[in-house]
Amino acid sequence: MRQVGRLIFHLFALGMVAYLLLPIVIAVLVSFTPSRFIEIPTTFSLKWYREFLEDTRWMNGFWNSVYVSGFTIVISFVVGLTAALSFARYELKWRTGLYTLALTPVFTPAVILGMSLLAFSHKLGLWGTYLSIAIAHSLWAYPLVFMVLKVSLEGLDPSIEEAARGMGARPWRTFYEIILPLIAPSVLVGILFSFIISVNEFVMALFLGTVETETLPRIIWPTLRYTLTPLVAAASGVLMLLTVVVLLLAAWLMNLRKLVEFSRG
Amino acid sequence: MPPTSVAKLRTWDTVGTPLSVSAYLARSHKYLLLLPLALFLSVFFVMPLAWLFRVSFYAHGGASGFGVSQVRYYIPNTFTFHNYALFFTDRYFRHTLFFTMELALIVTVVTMALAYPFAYYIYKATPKLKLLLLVLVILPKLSNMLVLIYGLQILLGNAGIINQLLSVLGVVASPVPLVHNLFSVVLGKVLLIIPYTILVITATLHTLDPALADASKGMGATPARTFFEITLPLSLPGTLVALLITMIWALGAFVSPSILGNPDLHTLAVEVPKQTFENVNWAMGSAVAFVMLSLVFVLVLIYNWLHHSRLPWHMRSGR
Repeated sequence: MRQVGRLIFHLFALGMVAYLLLPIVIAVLVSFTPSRFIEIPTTFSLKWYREFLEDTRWMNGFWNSVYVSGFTIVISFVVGLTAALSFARYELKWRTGLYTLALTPVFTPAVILGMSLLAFSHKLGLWGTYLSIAIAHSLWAYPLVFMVLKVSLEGLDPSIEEAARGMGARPWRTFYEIILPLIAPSVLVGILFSFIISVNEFVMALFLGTVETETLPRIIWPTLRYTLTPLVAAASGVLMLLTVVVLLLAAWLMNLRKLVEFSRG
Repeated sequence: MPPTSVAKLRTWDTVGTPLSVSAYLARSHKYLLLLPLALFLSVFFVMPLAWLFRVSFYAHGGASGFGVSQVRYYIPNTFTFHNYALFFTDRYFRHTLFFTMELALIVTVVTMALAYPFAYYIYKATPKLKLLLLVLVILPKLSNMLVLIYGLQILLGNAGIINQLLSVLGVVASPVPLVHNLFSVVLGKVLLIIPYTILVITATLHTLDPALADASKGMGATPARTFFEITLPLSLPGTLVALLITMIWALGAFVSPSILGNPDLHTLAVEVPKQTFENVNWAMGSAVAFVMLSLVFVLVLIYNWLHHSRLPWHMRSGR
């Protein structure tokens, strides 16, 4: 009886893995079809990727996504790092309340954020700029940077910083030469999160993007609704590739850092 | 250097010794460092929401696109309750409102029913399998939500893999309609939320003291009894957080109903861009978005009440 229960539990887990993975696998597989129709290919072809690269609208969307994610990384890094420093080293009034407030945007549905920022950035004259989309994405990105850096800063040994100060280093130099290298892995993780959020975010980009600033997911959207071709799969494939490349780059940088540390002894 | 420096600053403060210049700077840094967060939150989160509320009381600009040279998203400096009156009297809007709440409830129940056992499975897995499963759980969140929905659409379609499999096996004669119904909408929305829910519950389970479950087993309780009397009640506070997050995001369902649903299965979140872009009525779009925000707010209030009330699980977990 217990054996049967265990088997059912394993099968359930297997089903969950299939549910989480199959949609991604299918979308990637379809992108390699030579056919005009959406089907799992029997032969491998890069036809739809070539089509993607030759289409100026899709390529513009690709570059717009890259620009927006760049702005997002800068904004969420500045906001997240300063807030994390403040939380990690000082006793703050209403600490818990402030912390909850800082994380609130992540739990606000994207449609609400998108609509409110559309009306507001229109009022400010920001509508139609990369900045307006990057600000929206930062609302979801900076809380993650903040959380990751806060944990990392709180884990630092206070005596290291005191030693640097004791030897006469100014606060800025202490930060730049002692703290920053120590929290570098978390900084990298924060940047990575910001990038992935920005490149993949769609709903806020739908509200705030215009013809000049539309990001890749925003171009995929109408195509997905009205004209289903494998080109959408190829565009999705490009998005996934972009994410994977950045992930690998981060992993490589982390290892490189370890190598440098190792060679220094 | 958090603890020591804070302690020092504090004693200096209370004793009344004059602060040195650097200590004074360090003290003002505290607020200086919070400035970017405070500015960003107030200018790009609080103020837009306040502005959204104001815009929801504007009159409709009336540009339908034909013969109107200048598109007006709303008429500034007007104040009318018309948008909200229309929302709560019109049958279509009322239906959308109730369907949104119904969908959020269904999605939450399904998500929790799948996420909790799976999180428990991850919790119980060997370290290597655990790592692999956690990576698999995060993977959908690293890819675009449109990719996921697109994949599901291909999977569930009439010529999709599931239907092909069923007909090859001879289970069905004609394709089963798996897409553009409530089933596919729920399946899509659950897929978009469940990675977070699983992660929160897994994290909660890992904060529990394993000695408690061991003790229960040591005293002769069956694994099932240990789970229901020790592990489950202790994990309830964290699970409640997961439930809140799940429900809030389920209320904002937009992509799944748009792609995998049909016009009868439209939510408030679908209505907002429809009013804003198709009807060029930003005032109505804002009003609908504000109704959504109110629903989220009510959920948070209920959560707060549950969290602070002395429910059984709080006593059992020793709070």
